[in-house]
Amino acid sequence: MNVFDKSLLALDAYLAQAKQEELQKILEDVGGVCYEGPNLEDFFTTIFQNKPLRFKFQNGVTYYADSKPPPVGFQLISQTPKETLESFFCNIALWKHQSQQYLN
Amino acid sequence: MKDYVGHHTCSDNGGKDFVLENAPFLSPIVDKHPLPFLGRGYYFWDYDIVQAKKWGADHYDSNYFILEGIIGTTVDNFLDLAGDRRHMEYFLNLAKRFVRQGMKAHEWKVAKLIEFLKQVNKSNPDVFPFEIIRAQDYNIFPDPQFRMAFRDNLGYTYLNPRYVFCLIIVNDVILSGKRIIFQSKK
Repeated sequence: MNVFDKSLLALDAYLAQAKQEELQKILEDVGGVCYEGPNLEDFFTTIFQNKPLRFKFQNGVTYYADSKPPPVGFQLISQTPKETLESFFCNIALWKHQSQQYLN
Repeated sequence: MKDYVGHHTCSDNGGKDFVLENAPFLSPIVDKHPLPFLGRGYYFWDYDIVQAKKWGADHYDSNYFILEGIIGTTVDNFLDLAGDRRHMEYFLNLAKRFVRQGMKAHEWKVAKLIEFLKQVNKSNPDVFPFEIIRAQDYNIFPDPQFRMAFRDNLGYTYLNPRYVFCLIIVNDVILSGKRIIFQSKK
């Protein structure tokens, strides 16, 4: 049996008998805090400020996006200075293909 | 199994001899602070002097050394979340088990799941036996010069990913051949 199967079996055996209080205690013992950044929806609301966003590319095609959180690939575009956008064109094409509902 | 070359950035406090003797230095868990990326451990970039220098400039005000070392992995001590899909699937399966237990593990950060498993492992040694973890620090702004297309422009591979190692423990088997390969100019 490999190390992964052994690990999952051991965890299953542990969880089968572990009490919720014990798990919560371990969670507290983990310590530290995890950084909680803005969520994706807040992020895009800030970026778009509830206004449609328009990109025009050298191929003459114009893309629009609204304030709804689009797929992750769009982050590349929305945070990228206009002069470098062309190098991300293939990401745009992919995004357009995957998310027609965000385009006018 | 396989050796990797790692680059560890650290302060130059104490001088070269002290650093060579005592490095790598631990990234601890500090109360009320964010957990280190992959939890408590000794961090190395996977063969990446450029990232090691960036880290030094950003975190040590350009007063730093870069330590190089050979990281020795085996099939039993290495969890590779950067380059092995089987390892990734396993890691997700661990999280799913906690979700089934009614815990919000799907919302946990990577470090939290790892630290939780390390705690459980103290009394259940098979649960998380790993000593070395590697993961990709995904860059949402990949540098186009390292992108190489396949057959068309929709598919490509990226030849400069940021991989980070976290050594949970350090000993002569896991880390060997330590040497300082760079000292920042003051």
